[in-house]
Amino acid sequence: MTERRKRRAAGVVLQPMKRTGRQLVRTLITGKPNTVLYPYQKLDLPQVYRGKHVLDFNKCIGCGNCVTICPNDCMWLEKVEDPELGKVERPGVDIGRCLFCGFCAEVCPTVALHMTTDYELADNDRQRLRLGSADIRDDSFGATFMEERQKRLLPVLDLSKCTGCEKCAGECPEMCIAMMPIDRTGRKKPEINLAKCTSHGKCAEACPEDALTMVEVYESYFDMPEPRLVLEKCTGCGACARKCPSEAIYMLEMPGTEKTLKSGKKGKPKKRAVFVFEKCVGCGRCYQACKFDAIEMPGVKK
Amino acid sequence: MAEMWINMGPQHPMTHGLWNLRVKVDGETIVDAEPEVGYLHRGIEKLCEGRTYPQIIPIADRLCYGSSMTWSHAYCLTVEDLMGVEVPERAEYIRVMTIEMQRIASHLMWLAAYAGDLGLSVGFTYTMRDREVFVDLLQGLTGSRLTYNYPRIGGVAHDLPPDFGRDAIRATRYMEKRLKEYEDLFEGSKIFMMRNVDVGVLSKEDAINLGVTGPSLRASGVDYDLRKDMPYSVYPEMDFRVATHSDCDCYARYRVRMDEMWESCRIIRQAIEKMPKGRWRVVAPRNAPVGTGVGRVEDPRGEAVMYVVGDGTDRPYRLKIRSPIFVTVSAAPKILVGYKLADVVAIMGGLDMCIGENDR
Repeated sequence: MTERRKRRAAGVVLQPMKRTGRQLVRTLITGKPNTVLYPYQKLDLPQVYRGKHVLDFNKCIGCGNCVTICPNDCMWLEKVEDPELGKVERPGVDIGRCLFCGFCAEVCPTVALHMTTDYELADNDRQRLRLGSADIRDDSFGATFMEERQKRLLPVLDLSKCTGCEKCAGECPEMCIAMMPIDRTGRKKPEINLAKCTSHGKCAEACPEDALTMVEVYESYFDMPEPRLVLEKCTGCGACARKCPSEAIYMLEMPGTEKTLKSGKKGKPKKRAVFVFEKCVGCGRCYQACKFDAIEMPGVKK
Repeated sequence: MAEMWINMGPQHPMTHGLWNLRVKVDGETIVDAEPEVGYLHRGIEKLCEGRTYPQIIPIADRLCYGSSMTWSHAYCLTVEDLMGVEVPERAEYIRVMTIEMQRIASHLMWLAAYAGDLGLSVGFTYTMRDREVFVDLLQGLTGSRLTYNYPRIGGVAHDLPPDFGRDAIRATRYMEKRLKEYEDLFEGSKIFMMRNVDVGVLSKEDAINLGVTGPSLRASGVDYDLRKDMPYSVYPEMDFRVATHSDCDCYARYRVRMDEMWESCRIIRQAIEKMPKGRWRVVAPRNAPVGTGVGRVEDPRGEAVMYVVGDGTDRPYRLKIRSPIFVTVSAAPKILVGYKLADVVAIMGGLDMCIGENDR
C-alpha cells in the first residue's frame, strides 16, 4: 500500500500554504461562499424530505395503520366532525415526539399522509407541538407531486352484489380465481390469488352483476395481518362491519338458523361476518371491535 | 515524583461524546490509563425487544450518528438472515453504494474532528465542506440528512431519483481531487506529522489479542476486512483493495482511512455501472420464525455484529449489538502507556470514537 512519502524541507512548509492559497484565490474569483445566510437563504430540499406531516382528509379512511406502525407512539386517532365527510376518525401527530422516520406515510394504504419539506417546527410551547388532525389537514398537497408508490390494478369484490355464478373463475386466463364456499351460508364467493393475478380485467368484464370492478390499489410494502373468523363464537352483531374503514366485511345470513317464534312463525336467520381480503388493509379494527373474541389476528394489540 | 490520576472527560474537548478517560501520569508521562464508558447508555437493546421488526430500523439508525446507514444495513442483514428473505439484486447494489457513501462521509467527519483536535482549523473546514457533498446526495436519496432510515427488511425504501448515478459519479471525481488536496494539506504539515508519526504504536500481536477491528487493526499491518474475508451483499463482485499499513502508529491509522476513501470512490462508481434494473424491495414477513440470525458488516469503525433471536412473534426476543468501538477503546491502556499527556488527544482521536454505538 501507499507508504510514507519523502518530502523535502521546502515541501513541508510550502505545500499546505499552496493549497490554502489556491482555495483563497478560487473563492475570490468565483465569489461563491460555501455557506448560506440561513434565515434569508434556505437550502433546496428534495421532494422526498421528511418534515412536517400533511393529511388529505378525502383520501384518508381512518384505518389507524399510521398509529400502529409509529415507533414512538406519537400519533393518535381523533373523532372529527366535518361538514362534508360527517363524523370521521383522523390521525393527529405530536411532532415533539416524532422521529421523522416516515413510516406513517409509507404504510398509509391510500397514500393520504405525506411529509412536506417544512422543517422549521420549533415552538416555545410544548402543547402547540401536538398537532391535531385539523392542523395537518391539506387536501391539495397530494396533487403537487408524482406519487412514486407502486400501484396495481386488482379486481375488487362487492359481495352484496355477487351471486356466485362462477363466470369470473371461468374467464380468468391465469386460473387464479377459485370459487370457495362460505361456511353455513350455502353461497360461494370468488377467492382471488393476488400473487398470480396479472390485472387482465377479464373477470370484471365477465361479471353479469358488476360485483367485480377493477380498482387501482397501492401495493403495501409491509406484510399486514389478516383477520380470521371463529365461526362458533360469531353472534352476527355486525360491530366489525361497522368499524371496518375499507368496507371489507359483509354480514351474510346463514339459512337454517332461524328460531321458531311462539307464534309458530320463523324469525330472522343469524348472520356471520365474511371478509373480502382484496379490500382489507390489515388495521385490526375489527379485531378490536369484536366483544366475543370471534376474530383472531395474531400480532395485533387489543 | 508522585503519580496522579487525571480525568479527561466526561466533558473534555478530546472526547467526542460523553466518555471519561482516566490517565495516571508520572510528570508528563502516562503510566496507566482506564477508559470509562456508559454515560450515554440508552438501553437500545432492551428497547428493541418491545418493538416490531420494521420499527427497529429507525432505532438502529440512531446507534451511531456518524454512520447510521451501516447500522440499519447491519440490522436488516441480521433480520433477513433470521427470516430467510431474498433481497433483489438492485437493492443490494443500492445498499453497497449508499454504505460506501456513508463510509466516506464518516471518515471525513473523523478527519474533520481529528484535524480540529490537532489544531488544524483549515483541515476541519475543508473536510466538513466536502462531507456536505455526500450528505446532500444521501439526503436527496433518502429524505434525511443524518438518520436516513433507508434500508428495509427485504430491500431499500425507494428507488434512486433520476440522475442520481450521474451526480454520484461527479461527487466521487470531486472527492478524489479533494483527497489529493488533503494529502498535501496534512502530510505536508510538519506539525501534523510530528504529532502522528511514531505516536500511539499498537503492535500487531496486541491489536489481534485485544480484538481491535477496522482501520485501527489494518493500520497495525493485519489484512483483515470483512468485505473481502467474509463478503456480504454484492462485495464479491466489486474490485477493490484492502487498505493496510505496517507502521502501527497514528499516522498509519490516518493513512488507512485516506486509502479507504479512495477505494470507496471506486466501489461507488462500480456499483452504479453494474446496477441492474428491476425491483428494489420485496415484502418481508411480519412474524419471524423461531431461530437466530447473525449479521456482520464492516462499519467505518470496525466490525459490527448483530445477533437476533426470534420467537415466532413480530417482535425480537433478544437483539445483541457488538460495537466495534466498545472493543477498540479497551486497547487504550496498551496504546497510551509511555507517551506524553499531550499525545492522548492524537491517539484517542485516531481511534475514531463514536459513543452512540459504544454505550448502546
